[in-house]
Amino acid sequence: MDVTVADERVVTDAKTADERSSEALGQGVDAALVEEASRGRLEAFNELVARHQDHLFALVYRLVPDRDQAADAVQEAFFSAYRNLHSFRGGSVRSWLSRIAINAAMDLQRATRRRPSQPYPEYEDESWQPPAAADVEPEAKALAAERSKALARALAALPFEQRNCIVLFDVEGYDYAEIATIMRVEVGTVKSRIHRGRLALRKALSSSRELFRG
Amino acid sequence: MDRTPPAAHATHDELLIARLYGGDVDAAERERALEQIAECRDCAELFADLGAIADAVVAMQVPRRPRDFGLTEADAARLRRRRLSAWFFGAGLRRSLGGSLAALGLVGVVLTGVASLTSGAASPVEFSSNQSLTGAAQPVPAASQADLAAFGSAAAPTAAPAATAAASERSATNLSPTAASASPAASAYAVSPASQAPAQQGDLGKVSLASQSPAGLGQPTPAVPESSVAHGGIDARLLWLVGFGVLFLFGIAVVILPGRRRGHGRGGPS
Repeated sequence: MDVTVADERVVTDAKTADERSSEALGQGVDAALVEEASRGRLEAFNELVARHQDHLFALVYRLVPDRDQAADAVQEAFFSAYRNLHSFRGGSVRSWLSRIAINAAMDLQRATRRRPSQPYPEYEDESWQPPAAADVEPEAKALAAERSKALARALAALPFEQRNCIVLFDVEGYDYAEIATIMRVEVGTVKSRIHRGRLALRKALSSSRELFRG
Repeated sequence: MDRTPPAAHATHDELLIARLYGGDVDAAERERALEQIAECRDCAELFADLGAIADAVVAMQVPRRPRDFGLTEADAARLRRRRLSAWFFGAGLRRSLGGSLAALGLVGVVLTGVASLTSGAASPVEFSSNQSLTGAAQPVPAASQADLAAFGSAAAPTAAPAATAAASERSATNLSPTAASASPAASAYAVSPASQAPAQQGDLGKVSLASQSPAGLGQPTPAVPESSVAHGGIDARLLWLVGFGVLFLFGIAVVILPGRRRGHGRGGPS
């Protein structure tokens, strides 16, 4: 038994090491692509786009409750990244692109603040279903879809400042200080937005709470 | 396990539970929150729900992106042009240009001011300039009227023709153009002794001396340089001063006024 536990630990450590080396390799590739793109090679930049567009779209989609608007924000973020390639100062390209995409999403949120659109309209369309892994049971698939639908509505009902803080904290893994820097507010404000946002989210999901239990 | 009745939950601090979940509590608060969770079923459910919802946000299904976000050659060319124009009309050149204008304006204001202070009112040229300005623009003072009256009968009939003649021969007589274009009395009043014909020199010299201030007494009135007086009777130095001041203010405005908004990329890369 002890041996098994030890073996599992070794396997886990090995996986972590693999993931780390893969991440480091990915960062190296990203940095090389940025360097080539800043010399004017458009193919290098488009390779960078291909590597990160899914992640950025998933991130922005949680911030902007409209698929088309989210797509516009991501496109604008890549335009901005291309214009500002020379200002990349090293580090994680993924984080750099995420920051640009978050700013683009926040600009869009401010622009559309006075003319709110229908949040997550695709969820209203019964024919549309979010993609799910092929090997998932149909029942679990349906449950996940219902859960996403309810959560999307509840997220869209939050003030975007609270929604942004929750997504950046829970999904992107930024800490309070980093979110404060990104959103240009005090750390205390970020904490308050996250805590109050969580409570508001729970209240909004009170009618479908069973979806999230068990 | 003893649980607080649900009615008592209304008095519990839910924000404290949320703060506990977010790791934003000190030791005392943590102890109080844990106690609350242990004693109140609703607080325990709240804590569990917060965790479940946070997990669901991470696992939330997201639709596939509607398109590929790669850039075309046309996009890239357009963005390169925008980058160039952003540099030209953006903060870089704007600040340089504004700073240069402000510096030039400031230097001009200082130099003009210093020049005015060091060689200003006391200089004969400046004085005569001012004098002829005031003499031409203002009514003749009473004392001067008396002088003119004394100058009177013999000089008066000839003063106007003399002034007219002097105006027509301005270059020969060194008569001020401003004075020459004024009333006959003022014209005669500003005539300098050196510029008069020998027959009238004594009388006209008296008039001129009587009308001058003590600083200028006894000094012949030289011709007023055209360059130091602008049309309409404004000192050219004042014009330069105002011009440099405006240039300075314009430069400052160019520097501090916000630049053009450049779309969503504003503040993006950090």
